[in-house]
Order: sequence, then C-alpha cells, then structure tokens
Amino acid sequence: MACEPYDWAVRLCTEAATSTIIDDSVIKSLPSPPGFKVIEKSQKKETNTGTDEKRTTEINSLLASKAMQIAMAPAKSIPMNMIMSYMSGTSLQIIPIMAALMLLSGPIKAILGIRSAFKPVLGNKEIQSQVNSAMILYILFQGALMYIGLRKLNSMGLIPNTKSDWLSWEKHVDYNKNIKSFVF
Amino acid sequence: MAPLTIFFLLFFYLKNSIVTAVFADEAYTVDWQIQNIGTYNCVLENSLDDILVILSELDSKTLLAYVNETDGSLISRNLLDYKVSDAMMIPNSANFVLQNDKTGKLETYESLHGYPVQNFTIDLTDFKPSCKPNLENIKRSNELIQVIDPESKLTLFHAILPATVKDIVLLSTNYVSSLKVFSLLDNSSYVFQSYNNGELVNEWTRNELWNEINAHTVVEIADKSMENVLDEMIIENNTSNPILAYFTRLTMNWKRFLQLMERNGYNPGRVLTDILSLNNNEEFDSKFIENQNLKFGFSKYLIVATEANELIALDIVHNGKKVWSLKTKLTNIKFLDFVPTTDKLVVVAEDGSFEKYDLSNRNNPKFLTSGRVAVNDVISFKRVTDKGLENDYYLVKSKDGKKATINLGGQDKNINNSDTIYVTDHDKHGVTGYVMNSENGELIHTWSFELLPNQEIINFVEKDISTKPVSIANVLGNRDVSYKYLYPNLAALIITNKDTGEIYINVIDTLTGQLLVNEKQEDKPDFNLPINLIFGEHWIIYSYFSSEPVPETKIAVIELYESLIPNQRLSNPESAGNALLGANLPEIVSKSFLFPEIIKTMTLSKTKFGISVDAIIMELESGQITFIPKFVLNARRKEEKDMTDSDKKEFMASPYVAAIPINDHFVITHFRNLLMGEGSKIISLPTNLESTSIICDIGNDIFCTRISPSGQFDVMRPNFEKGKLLVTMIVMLLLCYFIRPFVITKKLKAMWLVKE
Repeated sequence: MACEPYDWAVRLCTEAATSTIIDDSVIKSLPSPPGFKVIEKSQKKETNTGTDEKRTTEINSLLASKAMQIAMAPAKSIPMNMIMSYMSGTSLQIIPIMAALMLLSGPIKAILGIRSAFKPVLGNKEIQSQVNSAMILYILFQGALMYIGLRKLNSMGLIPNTKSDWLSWEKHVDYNKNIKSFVF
Repeated sequence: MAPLTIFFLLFFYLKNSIVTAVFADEAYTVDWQIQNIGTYNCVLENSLDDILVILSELDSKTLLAYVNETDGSLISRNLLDYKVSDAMMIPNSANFVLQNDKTGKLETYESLHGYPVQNFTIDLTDFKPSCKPNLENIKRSNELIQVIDPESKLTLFHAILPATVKDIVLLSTNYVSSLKVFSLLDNSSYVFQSYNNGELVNEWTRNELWNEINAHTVVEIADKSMENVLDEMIIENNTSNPILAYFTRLTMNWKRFLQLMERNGYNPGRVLTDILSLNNNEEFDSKFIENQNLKFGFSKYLIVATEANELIALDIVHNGKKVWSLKTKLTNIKFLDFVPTTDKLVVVAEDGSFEKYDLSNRNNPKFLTSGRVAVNDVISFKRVTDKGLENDYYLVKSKDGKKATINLGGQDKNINNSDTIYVTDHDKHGVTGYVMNSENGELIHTWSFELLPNQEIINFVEKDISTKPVSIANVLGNRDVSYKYLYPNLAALIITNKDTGEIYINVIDTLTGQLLVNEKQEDKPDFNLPINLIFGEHWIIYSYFSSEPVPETKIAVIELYESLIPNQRLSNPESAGNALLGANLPEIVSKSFLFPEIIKTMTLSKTKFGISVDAIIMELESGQITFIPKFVLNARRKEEKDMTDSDKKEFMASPYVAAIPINDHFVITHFRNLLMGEGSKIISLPTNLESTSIICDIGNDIFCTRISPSGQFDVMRPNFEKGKLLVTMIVMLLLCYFIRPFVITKKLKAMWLVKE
C-alpha cells in the first residue's frame, strides 16, 4: 500500500503556488462575506468617571447574581434526584447502584472543582464575600445531593451500618472446650 | 411502590429458587426403589393371566404381591389389614380366596388388579388350603423331580432343579406336559422354572434381599481425583510470599495446560473440542458421569444388615445395585458403624459379639477380627470420637440400663483422654446424667430428671452438633439481628401424661440436667399415632395428631433465641468456655401449623456446610415422602395485618397461615408407591454439592433420591458458557493485537494527510 499525500497538500507550500495562486490584490478587491465586519482599530475612550463607577457596581451585582446562579445550579437537580431515587426502588440492580454512586461521586468532584465552577466570578475583591457565601451554598447543595445518594445506598442496604453487616466477624462461643457429651 | 417491588421480587425469587419439583427427566433416573416382598409364605398361580400371587408378611399383616409369571416383574403390591392363615386359587378363574387368621372368615380377591370381589361367596367346606405345594404324584430326589401319572404311576417327564434349592413354594403341573416350579434357593433368592415335556422353556430369578433390615450405615467412596488439586492448594497456601504463591499457581496451571496439550496430541482442534466438552462419545459420557458422581460426592454405598445376618452393600448412584454381600457369624445384628478415618466397619450383634471388617477397598470387604464385649442385650452403641481416644472406643448400653465403655481393639487400655466426657441416658421414666472417670472409663452418676408415675418419655432427641452453625444470628427485615441460642449440649423430649391426655415438650441441658423449655399441648394428642420430634440448629419441631378442636395433624415449632430484643447478645465469646457454668436461659417463640396428613417419620436434611435452607423431610402415612422448607415452619411468622414493611423484607418472610398444604412439587416420591412398614427410617446424607442432599428411606423397601431445598444453585453444565468465554477472549485479543494498532496507524495517517 503506497502512502501518497493528497495533491493539493503537496503543492501547498511550493513557490509556484504562492506566486501564482495567492494574489493579494485580488483578495483585497473582493467584497467581504455577509456578516463579516472589519473592526475599526481606533475606538473612542470613555472619559466620564461617574458612569464608570456605576458600571463597576452594575458589573459587581451582575457577577454576584451570576455567583448565586452557579450556587443554585445543583439545588435545581435535588427534587429530580429525590424523585428518581425514590422511584427506582431498593432492589439491587446495576443501574440504580450506579446512579446512587454517581450521586455520591458527582458532588465530591464538584466540591473539589469548586474554583473552576466559580471561575467567571472569581478575582473580584469587592464581591469576594458574596462569592464566598455562594460557594458555601454551593457546597451545601452538593452535600444535599450526596445525602440523597447516601440515603439511596442505605435503603439498598449497601452501607454497612447495621449489626447484620458485621455478623460474620462476630465470634462463635466455644462452650465445649475440653468437654465431650454423648447422649443415649 | 416499595411493597409492590418487594412482591414482585419475592415472586420472582420464589419462582426461580423454590422450584424444586421432581422433573420428568429426573424421575426414575435420580431416584430408585427396591420393592421388597420378603419371605414368600404362599404362592398362588393364575394360569389364565400368567400372574403369580405371592403372600408374605409385613408388620404382622399379609402383603399381597402380584408378579408377572413370564418375566418375574412385580406388577403391584397390596398390604391387607389382617393376617392370612391360608389361601386358595379358585380353579379356572382369576379369583383367589384368603382366610383371615383371626376370624377364619374367607375373602375373595381377583388377581388381575388386586381388588376384593364382593359378590362371590365360597363355602368353608369348599376351601382347600393350598399354600403348601401339592406334591402328590411328584417324586423328588435331590435335584431330580419326576411327575408321575396318577393312574399308571409311570414317570411322565422329569425336570432338574438347581443344586441349591432349599424349598419349593409353588409346583403346578397338568400331568400331561407342563411343569412349573417356584423354589427358594440357599442365597434367599427365588427361582421360577417352567418346563414343557421336561425341557426348560422359561426361567427367572427374584432376589428378595431381606425380610427386615436391622441396621444400616453409609460408606462414602472417596474421590481420589481431587487429591492432586488439594495438594496444590496446600502448597499454595503454605507459601507465605503472595508473589511466589501466584507464581506457583501459574506454573501449576501451565503444567496442566501442557498436560491438556499432550492428552490431545498437540492437535489444536482436539484441544478446542476437549475444552468445549464437545466429545459426545457414549463411553466417554458414562466415564465422565462416573467421575462427576465421585467429585460431587454422590457415590456412596448403603450397607444394610438383614434379619438373616447378612451385610449387603447397595450402590446409591446405580439404582441400589447390590455391590457385595457377606454372611456374618453374628446373630441379630444391632449396629453397624463405619469409621471413615480407619476404613473399618464394626458390626455388633445384640448379644455383644462383634465383627470388624476392613473397607479400604470399598468393593471388597476383608474380615479383620471378631470378639465379644462383656455386655448382654446391647440396645445402644456409640463411638467415642475424641482426640485422646482411638476410634475403637465405644459406649455401650444394655437392655437393663447398664452402660460401659469398651475397647473393640481387644486390649483394655486406660482412657487417657484430655476431655471430660459426659454421658446422658434416658429411658421411659426419666433422664440421667453421668460423667466418665477419665482413668477407668467408669460412669459416675451426676443428675436425674424423673417423671411422675403416669408420665412417660415417648420421644428423645439430642441436638446434632456435627455441623457448625453458619451464622450466629438471624437477620431481620430491618437488618437488625436476633441472636440464636446456640448452646450445644441440649436434648429435647416429649413426655405424655396418660391421665390428663397432655403432652409436654421439654428441652434440657444434657450436662447439668437443667430444664430450659417447658411447653404443654392440651388439645387431646393421640398417643396411638406417631409423635415425631426433631432438633435443628436452634429450634425443635414436633408433630402429633390431635382430636381437638378438629382432628388434624399439628406441626409445632419452638425457636430458641438468646434474647428477643434485636441486636442484644448475651453470650460472650471471650469469657465463655465452660459449659458447666451453664448458659443463659433461652427465650422462645413458638407457632403451630396444621398439616393434612399423618406424619409417620420426620428428619432434617443435611448439607455439607449447612448453608442451604433446612428442609424437614416427612414420610407420610400414605407412603409418600414430602418435605417442607424450614422457613415455612417459622415461629416468627405473623398475621398479615401485624407485619410491618421491614418484616416483609426478611428472608422468605410470609404472613402466618395456620394450614400448610401438601405441595405436589415437594412430593419427592412422585408416582412411586412405597411400602415401608413400621419402624422405617429416613436418612439424609450430605454430598460435596452444598445444594444437594441424598435422602434414603429405609424400611421394608428402600427408596433413595436427591433433593435440593434451595434449588440447584451450584450445579452448572460441564461446558458452562465456555463457548461464550472463548469468543469473548478471542474478540478481546483481536481488539488488543490487531484492531487497536490498525486504528492507531489509520489515525496517524489521517493526521499526516496521507492517502491510502
């Protein structure tokens, strides 16, 4: 099997190709495609400081609401997960078990990656406290999701928290040490 | 939602795991029956239909057996309610007349189907007792038998009987050409010979192996094929370094692979068919099945001691085929004991004489020694298995209540055992406890449990502690636990009180004589019908027939727990160790159930590890054998309205319903008709398969089958999914070594914009 590159790929960088095919003047004379806009290099600078401050507070409030939005995102999935885990029953099947494990692992991953989740609103010192409280809320909601997962695993009996789970480790009593009994 | 899910789960679980019916392909192949007739007291011939009617005795009643005259096969049997003194065949008809031994009355039966004939009367004067063969005009000298013409007194024709003929049970001739002789041989088999003009035209033999079985034991045929694997496992277990152990396993498997290659002559095709078990050669199959039977522990010999003091070994796997038989010099054999560690079979007779056989070769018993112990009228015999004692030590009890420790080895060695031996003995009037003197084996009286004069012990069962309990507690529905009362030295007894008509069910500590459980049944139990009792892991089950409030068989279960409070454990594994200090008193839960048939005998199924569900095997008065899983006879069953959601989650929990029906799927004798007689005994033998237990009912007949109370969860086809596994492995290999690199180069080429 001969490996041969495509023809145009071979001719892409040859001198003849650059000199003959690409002609600047031709390109420049062509009209721009629809929707294409040439950005002007020189922009008018805002000088009004009052509007600037107003703008910053607006941005801050926007950022704060954005932070709250991020924090509320896991809360929205709580009712759905609750219903899902209730409806799927307590039978030991691979899909409900996987779902419950995902409910456990998802929040852990989310909490560990909290900075990346809040990245768009981080770095602004003025709203840091608001972002922090949003982060706490976020962790709380993730905790709630985890709790649903734990409850689910518990209802399936997969968490060894009862006496019966540790029964095999309990020792038998050897009553007949050095004793033999025969019954006629 | 949740209850519905549980319902469906339970439904499917029950559907999948509790289908333990005898399937058509297993019936008559897995189970077998030896239909015994016994000693022929009388033989009648229905020459019209070629049927022989054989009269024998069972439980002081007469047993009628109908046998095909042409091949000797048994057509049917019928146990009468009375004993017959004599019988007569009505000439030129299919009917025969029986005379009642007690009343002298005559009754007519027809020999084709065995039904009584109602509208037929025969006068006593016409009744000619014909049980004794009519040897008129017959001349017999040793083996030669001559038929003489009644008129001319000349010999018409003659026949030669086998040399070992002991007795003639039937002789019929037409004084022209035919002669039929049915005779008993020396080896208790019966031979039927039909002669025409002195020439033998038909001959068959029926082996009536016994009249009654006095004792039995079971000998397992050891599976030698697994010894190699066992050795390998021991080597692997003894290797402390896990990497080295893994390497050992790897080299062993490699060796096994090389052996497989060598066995198949390094032919890949044959190796593959061997792996896939595609060889359907018949010879290979029977050998393969033989090996599987050995591996699964099905190969066992049932050794029975007959009334004629003969030992007969029957192969349980091969439909009860007689493997060997030997005549002992003992009279009235009482006990058979097989010691697996030394391969010795001990046979003890009632008068204390014994014989020992070596059974290292299971197919060829060798006589070792014989002797006599100084105890007359032996009624009970127990082997003392203890690390300090050899296997030759036995505890013997005689009819007059005397007990002794004896050594069948011959020499009266001192018993220098490290363990203290306690002996509990019982008779009708009480239970007594003894402790053995460790020096001379003498029994010293320690305690007594005495009854009132009107009371009587009718059933006494000790707790079987040969299998260690799998778990120490029952898991409840909410995953809490209820600790079982697992104190081992227990015995249960049923006492009747003839004056009040009550029965008492007691559980006592066999070391101290302490009474632990005392229950009473006042619903007029019938003392004439069987009262059965079994002791399980932490429960006892007893059955009796009572006439109040409705005449019905009742099965009651008493379960013993450490405490009825969940999760409360009273026994302490650290401090316990002396049973003499006594265990805590048990707390009990009990329930009674109604059963539609009279239960004759009852036993508990035994499996190798005791993980399978316990089954209570019952021989019914109707001659059928059925079983009930223990979870049906659960003392903690509640009425449906009292059951909580978590109660329903408990393993096999079901609401309490008093009546237990007989489920056809659980009747393990299916179409068979057993005639067990009184004193029959059911035994359960564990096999190497945890799910399966061999059940044998030993009485007048012998019936053996296999049951799996929890379903055959550990039984797989020999080529179990091998095809799928191999295909998966091939696909994985292809993926790893061919497709994956191919895809990688393709991707690389595409990146480099290389055209193929």
